[in-house]
Amino acid sequence: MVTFTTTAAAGNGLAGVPETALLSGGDLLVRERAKPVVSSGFRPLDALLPAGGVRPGSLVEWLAEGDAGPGGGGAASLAFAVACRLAAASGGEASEQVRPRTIVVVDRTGWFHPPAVMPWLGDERRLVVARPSRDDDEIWTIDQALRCTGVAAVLAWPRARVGRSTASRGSRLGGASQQWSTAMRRWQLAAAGSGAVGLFVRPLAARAEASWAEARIAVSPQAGGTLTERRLRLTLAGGSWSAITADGQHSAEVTLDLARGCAGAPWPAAAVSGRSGVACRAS
Amino acid sequence: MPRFLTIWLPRWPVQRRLLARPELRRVPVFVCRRERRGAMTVVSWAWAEPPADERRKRVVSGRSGRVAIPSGMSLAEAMAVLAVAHGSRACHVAEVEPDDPVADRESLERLARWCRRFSPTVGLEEAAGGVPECLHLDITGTAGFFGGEESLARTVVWTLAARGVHARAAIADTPAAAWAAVHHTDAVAQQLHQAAPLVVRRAVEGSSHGVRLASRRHRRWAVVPRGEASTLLADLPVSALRIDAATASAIAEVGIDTIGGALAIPARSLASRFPPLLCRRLAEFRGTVAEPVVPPGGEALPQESHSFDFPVRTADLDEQQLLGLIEGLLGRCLTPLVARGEGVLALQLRLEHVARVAAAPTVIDVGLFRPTASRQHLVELVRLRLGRQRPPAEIDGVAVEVIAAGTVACRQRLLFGGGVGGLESSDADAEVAMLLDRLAGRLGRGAVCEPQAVGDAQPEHAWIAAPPTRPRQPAARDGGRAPRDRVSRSGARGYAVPRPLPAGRRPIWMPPRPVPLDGLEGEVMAVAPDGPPARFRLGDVLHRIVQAHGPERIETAWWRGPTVRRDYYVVETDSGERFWLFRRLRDGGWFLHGMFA
Repeated sequence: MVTFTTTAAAGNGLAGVPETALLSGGDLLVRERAKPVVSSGFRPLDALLPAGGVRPGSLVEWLAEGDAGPGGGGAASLAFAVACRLAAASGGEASEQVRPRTIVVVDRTGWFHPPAVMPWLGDERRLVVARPSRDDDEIWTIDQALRCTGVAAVLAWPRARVGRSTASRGSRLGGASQQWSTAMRRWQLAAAGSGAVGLFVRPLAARAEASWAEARIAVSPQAGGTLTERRLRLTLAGGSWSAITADGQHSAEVTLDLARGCAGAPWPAAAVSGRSGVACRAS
Repeated sequence: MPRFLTIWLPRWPVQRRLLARPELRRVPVFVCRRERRGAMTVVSWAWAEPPADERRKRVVSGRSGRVAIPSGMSLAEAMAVLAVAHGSRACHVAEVEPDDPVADRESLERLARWCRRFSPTVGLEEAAGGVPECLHLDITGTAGFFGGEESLARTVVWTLAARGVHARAAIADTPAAAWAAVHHTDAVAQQLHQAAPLVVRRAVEGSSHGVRLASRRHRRWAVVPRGEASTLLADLPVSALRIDAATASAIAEVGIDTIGGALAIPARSLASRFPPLLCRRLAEFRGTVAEPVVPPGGEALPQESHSFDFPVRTADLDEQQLLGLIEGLLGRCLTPLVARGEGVLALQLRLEHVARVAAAPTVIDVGLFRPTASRQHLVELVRLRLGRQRPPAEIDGVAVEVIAAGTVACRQRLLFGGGVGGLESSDADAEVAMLLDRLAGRLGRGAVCEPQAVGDAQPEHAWIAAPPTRPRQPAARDGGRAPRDRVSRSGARGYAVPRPLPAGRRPIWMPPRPVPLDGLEGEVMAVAPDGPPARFRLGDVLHRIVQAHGPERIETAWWRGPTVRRDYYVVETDSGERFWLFRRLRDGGWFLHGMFA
């Protein structure tokens, strides 16, 4: 478990820039950078995130390939693994008496299958699943869960659609993006007040929509890997701090151990060097 | 003439456990008592919801499906009887619970206090041995408030059914007669039907209501008319007099096997031949000896109401005003509870209508997962429910009644704080509990759950959505090992037999039903007839499979219907996506059963 605190301009692209210069650009950035962050459990992902980790009280979007829902790309699995890490970290390392906090999964589709992730949780009773049946209920549920100080992370896939019968809803929902943008702002404020982290899995098509997430990570699966390991390429696709990325990286590869819900063995060097674009070796 | 209502809660020890753990409804449950030499004897048992194929078999075979396992039978014998009736699998999934007569009685007393809404005088039956299963209510003069005795009996049964309690009710002149009637409601209903005038009987039989009555196998309530208990209940067996088995067999030896036969013999003659209990029961049945209805101890649950001087239009009533009024009522309800160290577990809000004769009041039930004494929290839950319900046009009163209460866990705060950000773990748990209440208040209790693995090999049944009601246990720190699955197995102690989950081999997204990959929805192509798939089409997208792990064969669920026989493959497409497909071995059909999202 890695929990550390970043300081201003440390370990990111602004190294060497005096804080006074940042202050002139706004106190907010300095103040936000001084807040503690929690490791996601994946070093390449930490390096990709603007704050050097997941900041409590923030939103992170995971953009999965496909136009309906998470599909088979592994974005939801990675998001849940990060949620497990956040829940364990919020329990504290020093005190054995302090129990980990709760993970809330808001599953509008009814497709979430908990046995896939139960082995990742030390105590499966930390997991709560809520199944709203309407859009406004889904927004309200996420908002309420993010406001709760006993919740470590809220995992949801807003506006996810399943089945062919609802495939034509996409065009009609296009006009509702303003509503969801407003909802995301509410979620951001709710999370900031409680320290919970909102992890939202959305289709890649949502990249064009406005977002209040601190980071938007595009997740694309890579072929290869064993039965219980998943190789994923992560690309920073925007977010509040998209202009400032740690070490100037924009993409990274991680290996997800599906049996334990944590980082697996790093990619072989050949697999990394053989790919185009900027790659980060998992270490 | 006094009138008494008796409520029978069959197999109460099992019912109490089913109320606490609804997931037990799907398996046979035995409540057993441990004897001196370690043998287990069955106190009570039930199988509330047998699988669908069991019910279908009963319909096809015409069997009632009842398994004769009397109280006192050894657990081994009971398992053998169950295996003969339902197969050995039923024994494997059976749950064995230890007997706890004190808790059974306490819960029944709580229910008796709740039943004070029907009558001010409610008492438990006098049970010589074991746990009482009946409640006696003195309804003299109160039945008119519920539209008559028939309506009252029906209301009692269905109100309890709404709370998940299976009950029967009967009304008679004495508690003893009502007790006899409630245990034989079918026979009493038949007697009443035959005693009705011929014209009325033909009219009832010719109507759809009569057909419905005839098709109904069990009547849940019965009303014995005034002064007709001796004639109407004369054909019931003498065991309906609440006498022990030895007395019943002794009286049967002289050829008396009905209540009518026992009533026909002079009391003096009976007293010289049989134990005094028989004469006492007969006197109680006749009403010559009064049988007191003793209310259980303990404080009644509070209820408060407020009546307006004149009807108020809800359109003119501000929500804050209404909530302020409800908050005041809640505060008055909480005062006695807090003094006892208790909190509200369930409450009922009633908005009394102006047209109180024609329309029932608008009732809002608020249930909590854990007791709370926080007035603000309760008001918030009421506000959530009010916002989703159309109020009546006019109201002339508001009433708040605490339905259930529970002990509030006391916690001591740490002097220097604890946890992250100074938030103690107990604080976090309390916050989560309040969140769950809020979510359940708006989404419904069924929409909020804590997943619980049940160790079923069939993926669709590998977990259940358990209500988050039980107190949280400290996390087991096992060094990161996978938690053990919980499987219900038979056993003298009812302990679960762990079975590890196939970690990493289950998709995080699974449709409620497997999606057939044939026709318009999809298509699968395999090189070999029994080999892994080479490519498949899902909707309009064609996926080329570059890697397939499997097969993982699952053969199970023969007790639920047709045996499930599947070969599962984890397939990886050229784009890196992973899906979970299976071939149904019965006909070779392919299905999509999950996505490693």
